[in-house]
Amino acid sequence: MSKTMVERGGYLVAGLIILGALALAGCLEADTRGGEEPDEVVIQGTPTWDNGIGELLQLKCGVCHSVPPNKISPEGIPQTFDLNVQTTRSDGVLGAQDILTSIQFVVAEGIMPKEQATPLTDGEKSAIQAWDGS
Amino acid sequence: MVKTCGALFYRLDWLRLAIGLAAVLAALQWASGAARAVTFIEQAERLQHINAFLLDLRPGQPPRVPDETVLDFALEILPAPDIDNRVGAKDEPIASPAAIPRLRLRYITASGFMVGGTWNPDVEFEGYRAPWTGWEVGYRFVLAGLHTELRLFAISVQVVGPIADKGAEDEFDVYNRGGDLRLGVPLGTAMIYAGGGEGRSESTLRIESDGARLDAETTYTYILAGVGGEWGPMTFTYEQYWSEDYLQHYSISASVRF
Ligand code: HEC
Repeated sequence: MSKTMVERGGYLVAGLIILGALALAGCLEADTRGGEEPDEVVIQGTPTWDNGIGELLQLKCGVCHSVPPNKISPEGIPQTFDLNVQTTRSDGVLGAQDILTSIQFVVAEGIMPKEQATPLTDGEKSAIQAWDGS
Repeated sequence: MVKTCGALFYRLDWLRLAIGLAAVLAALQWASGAARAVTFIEQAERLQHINAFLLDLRPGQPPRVPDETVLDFALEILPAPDIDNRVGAKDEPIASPAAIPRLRLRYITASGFMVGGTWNPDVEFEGYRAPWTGWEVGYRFVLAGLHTELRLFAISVQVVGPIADKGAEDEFDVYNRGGDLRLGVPLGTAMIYAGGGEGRSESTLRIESDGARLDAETTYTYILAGVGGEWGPMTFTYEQYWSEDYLQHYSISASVRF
């Protein structure tokens, strides 16, 4: 081995040791907001579409349950109802009021919202159960 | 971890002003956009942005103006942080590698022009293929004793493999481009430097199993601080990045000049 090759080897080892030490001081951190509490819609008094339920269903259901589907809506999203509206639309698409019992069923059973979506808080679940469609 | 990062911040005393200013700007930007709590859409997008930033083409080297025209080959390693993959009430089974190795080539003239690139062939490794192409051009000059580089970059990466499900052909496409400026203080053959930049990132995640296609787009800012040393024909660099207010990562690299 020539002298320069030995020298180069020496540089390489010295450099790697220093880099290794620096890397130990390095910062590695990613905040995906993954562990954060979900956004909550707090409803005071009787829940009605205008008093909280509309906002709640749009935020936690309507992002997927939209007709036509949103960019984020999974494939196979039902196109018979839209949870961004309270009553039947002029084009015949049903609103939240029309499928109230199904909504209360899927929420009580924990089927909806889907697992990958923003979860409902306990307060929001009881508000949906207490809603009479008005 | 936050503590270590804070300590690094304050140890580099002379950098505090620049970094502090950038942090204030970043905080202002954050405060104006984050009045609401979190929804799964924000979580999913952020997850995508983080994965896109980790594949970015950052400077990775001190902005030293060489004495003569050189061709520089570098091996760069970008360690990835632990990423919380929780979206809504679900932990997305996204497998991110612990570190990304990358070969970079730079041609730097004695007058300070730099052109560089990085490529990865479309070959399968442990079930994944990740072809990428990145380009950068820069101009280096000495300004009041400070070595400076103004740089533009663009990189497009495609990751194909079982990203969300075992055995699937999921696909993550990223296209980032932007520019940055950094200033370095030469200390003999070593150099301490810092700077900042802005980029635009577009990414798409296609998940085979449910046919989902998630698009995320963002304009992002980052600041960086690094230290590099030259030993003979080799340069060793450590570069720390702060991207937006939610990602901190670094690169280490070893390069050889001809
Ligand atoms: C991530 C998107 C997403 C969110 C958010 C979501 N859903 Fe769904 N929902 C779906 C999909 C997809 C289906 C189709 C059936 C399936 O895939 O499970 C569905 C089906 C339904 C059905 C029909 C069930 C059936 O058997 O036909 C109802 C009712 C429903 N959702 C109510 C809700 C309510 C109420 C919420 C909010 C609390 C909600 N969904 C939130 C995606 C979503």
